[in-house]
Amino acid sequence: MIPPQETQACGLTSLAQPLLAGGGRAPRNHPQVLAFDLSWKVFGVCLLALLVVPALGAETVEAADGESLSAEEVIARCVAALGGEAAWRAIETLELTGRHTSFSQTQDFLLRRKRPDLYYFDHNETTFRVTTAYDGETAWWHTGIPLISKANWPVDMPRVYQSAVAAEAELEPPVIDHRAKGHEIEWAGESRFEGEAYLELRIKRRQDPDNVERWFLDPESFLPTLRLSRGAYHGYTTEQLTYFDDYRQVAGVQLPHRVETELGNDFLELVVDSVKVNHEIDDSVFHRPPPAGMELLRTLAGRWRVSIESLDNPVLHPERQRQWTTDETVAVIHSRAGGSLLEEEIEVATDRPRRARRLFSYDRFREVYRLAHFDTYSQHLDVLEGQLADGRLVLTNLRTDTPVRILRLSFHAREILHDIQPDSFKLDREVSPDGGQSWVPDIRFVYTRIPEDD
Amino acid sequence: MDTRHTVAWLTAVLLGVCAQARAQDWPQFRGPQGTGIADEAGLARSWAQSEPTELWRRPLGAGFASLVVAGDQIYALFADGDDEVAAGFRVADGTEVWRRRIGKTFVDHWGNGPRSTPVIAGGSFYALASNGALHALRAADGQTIWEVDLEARFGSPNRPVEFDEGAPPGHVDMGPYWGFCSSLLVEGELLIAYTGSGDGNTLVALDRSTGEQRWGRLDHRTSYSSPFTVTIGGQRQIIVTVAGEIVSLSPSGELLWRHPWARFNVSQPVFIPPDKLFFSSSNDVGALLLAVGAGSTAALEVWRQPRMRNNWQSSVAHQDAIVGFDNATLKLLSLGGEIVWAKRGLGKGTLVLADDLLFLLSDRGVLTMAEWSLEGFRQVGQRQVLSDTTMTAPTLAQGKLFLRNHQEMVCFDLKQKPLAITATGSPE
Repeated sequence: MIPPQETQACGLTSLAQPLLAGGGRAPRNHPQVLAFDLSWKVFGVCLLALLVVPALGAETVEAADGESLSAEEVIARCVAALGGEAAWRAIETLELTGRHTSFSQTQDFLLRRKRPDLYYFDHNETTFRVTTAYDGETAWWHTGIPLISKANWPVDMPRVYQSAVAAEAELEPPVIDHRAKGHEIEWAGESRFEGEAYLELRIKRRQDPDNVERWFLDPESFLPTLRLSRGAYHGYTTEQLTYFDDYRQVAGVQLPHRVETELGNDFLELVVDSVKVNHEIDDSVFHRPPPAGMELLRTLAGRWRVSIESLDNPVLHPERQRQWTTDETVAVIHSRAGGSLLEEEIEVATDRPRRARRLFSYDRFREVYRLAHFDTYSQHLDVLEGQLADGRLVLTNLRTDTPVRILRLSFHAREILHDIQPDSFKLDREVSPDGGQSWVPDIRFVYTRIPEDD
Repeated sequence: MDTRHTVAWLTAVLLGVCAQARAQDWPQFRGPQGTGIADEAGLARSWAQSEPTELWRRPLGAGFASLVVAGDQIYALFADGDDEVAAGFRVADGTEVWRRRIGKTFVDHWGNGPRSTPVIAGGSFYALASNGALHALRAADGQTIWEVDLEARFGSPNRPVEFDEGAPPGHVDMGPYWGFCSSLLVEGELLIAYTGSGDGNTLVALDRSTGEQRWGRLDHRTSYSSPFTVTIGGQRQIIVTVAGEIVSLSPSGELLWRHPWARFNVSQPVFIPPDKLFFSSSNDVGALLLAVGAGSTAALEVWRQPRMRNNWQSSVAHQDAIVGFDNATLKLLSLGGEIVWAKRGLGKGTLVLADDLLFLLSDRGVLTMAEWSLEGFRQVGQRQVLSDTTMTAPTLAQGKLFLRNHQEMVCFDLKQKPLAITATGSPE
């Protein structure tokens, strides 16, 4: 791994293309008369052809120096212009900062990439902080913008966005090591788009082979200048235009420091001010965080050896000397839905043997913890709610009023989770025959983590 | 050329320039004809380093409403704390002449303040606050003539009645999500206002002298476009884009024709004489050219162009071409619908046209002047004129350009400068 490096620059990018690089040419804003008919019918036919007709076969093109190039040579020149595959392979992480413009307002951004396709993009849109990320399998975001997402907490992105973000997440441009990654690249020859002349590549990524991305290379530098791809905007699929500009050399590769994106009604602009290469970035950054409340309970996930102490008939025969009995079992607590839910499976072989399934969650709206408990002895789904304070999570079913009822008595339950450590925690269960006025012990659990290799 | 001849020549030139620089008002949204074009002449064809000359600049509250000009006053709607206000300022130096509260400030993440552009006619000033408070004021001093609460009177919602993120573009029929933002229109003795109320009163015509309702039409809800008038084949028509269609009404409110269109449209129609209307909408809709048939009972589709998508900006038509922003790319379309040229790098801008010059204001406050040309984009001047976001199109009147954002308003002199005379009498 090459050592961390940092460059300072003033330039820009957009919805963060993996590119970003140098030797670029001036912005392609020169007016030119367009060479082809763009009436809507013709456009529709062209679009259809783009979608259903295989990319054009290889042909030759004359390079600026007069040399004729084959398709393979065009791709090779593009790879070389971007810095070459060896230089890209040496990059494990990229961290970029700069200025992002959306809704006509410019604010700071942070973009993190980690090989092969971990992606984290944090920026602001108007007064909203927006995070978009890809953890290698799933794209998620956290946006409070009401027109974009109803959820103002981290959630998986709707399906329509997934493939676009996954493509965006690749650390390097798709031409780099494309065969090893399973991407298909075909050369469409010389091409024009809105008056500009390009060399066009058509790329099908392994993850999304039905989507053909059109990559337009500068005919002189062979650097990617424009990409037409399938993006998603406000929940529907639409064409995305991404312009790469202001290429600069960083750690031997060329990175565009200005990226502009036109997508739906959005015009986005990203200007890169600094780049850190091979900066240490923990994988957890790219994973969707659990609800704030569940972060404290994350340590409960795993396999546990459980020591159990239970009291016999604690309420029905209060005059009798209660006897503590002990037992031992194994519990497994699964982390579900990115840590939003903890699901415990435990089997208890006391005088009242039972298998229990217990779900811990946090209700962000009512700001309470919730435990749903079902066991084969009571065959009753009990719901307890409570708060975490001073390291103790105290849950009862007083408010939910879901106690076990025997004869004319209601047995409310209280569970106290305490002494939570990375490798151990304790759980005390109590019952109340008088609606919570008094509580008597029922069962005590002591959990000790079973090492993974045990 | 001797000195006498030089002076005589210069005098002739200067008199000619002055004669052409006619005073012209900008009394409504998109100018005198609602076309984005000012009837000006004698404007400078290039800018020296210090040009265009800034005549004055003054603070202004938040708002998107365009500035309007009539006579010696320029009028603005803006937020002043919790209040939306209308105010008149002297064109000459920006001095405030009067100020009147018109409603409660609309607060939104994308920008606070009023969106609807006021209109001036017959000495009256009509302004619509974001909360639906419609005011008729005396243009000279802001004294109230009458006022009507559109929300109370017509039951207009001022926030979405439903919202479905997963719906196709424009699918959802929302209420006026950003408050009452359609601009007002004067047609004869009528004041036309878009209420979005549904129930037959989505578009209402009020007696502009009294505020009494003369008629109400349409049942649609959402529109962020504004009513626009045009005369085709001798028939005066009020054109309005509403959720899902374009509608033409006579000044007395009769339906003339309707045509399917985008569910969500912000930009203004563009009239191309004698009988064509150009529409453009974002959300992947594109552009549409309609030909209004004889008798104005139907409109026929001439062409569509998917790569001309005006968002909140509108286009202008001039000399057999249409210029507008396709998102953030400026494009010139032939009247056949072909893209003749395209130009990036101007941001997501707005534009007006005068004297064969385009004045383009980027959303980040860069003003660009370009010669009108079918051959390609020909920039002749550029300057950063506003320091922060603006989405309000320029106002061009009396040889001056007026711009605003959420913090300030500024006036530039666009007129061609008289040539200086050196000591030797030579023009310099």
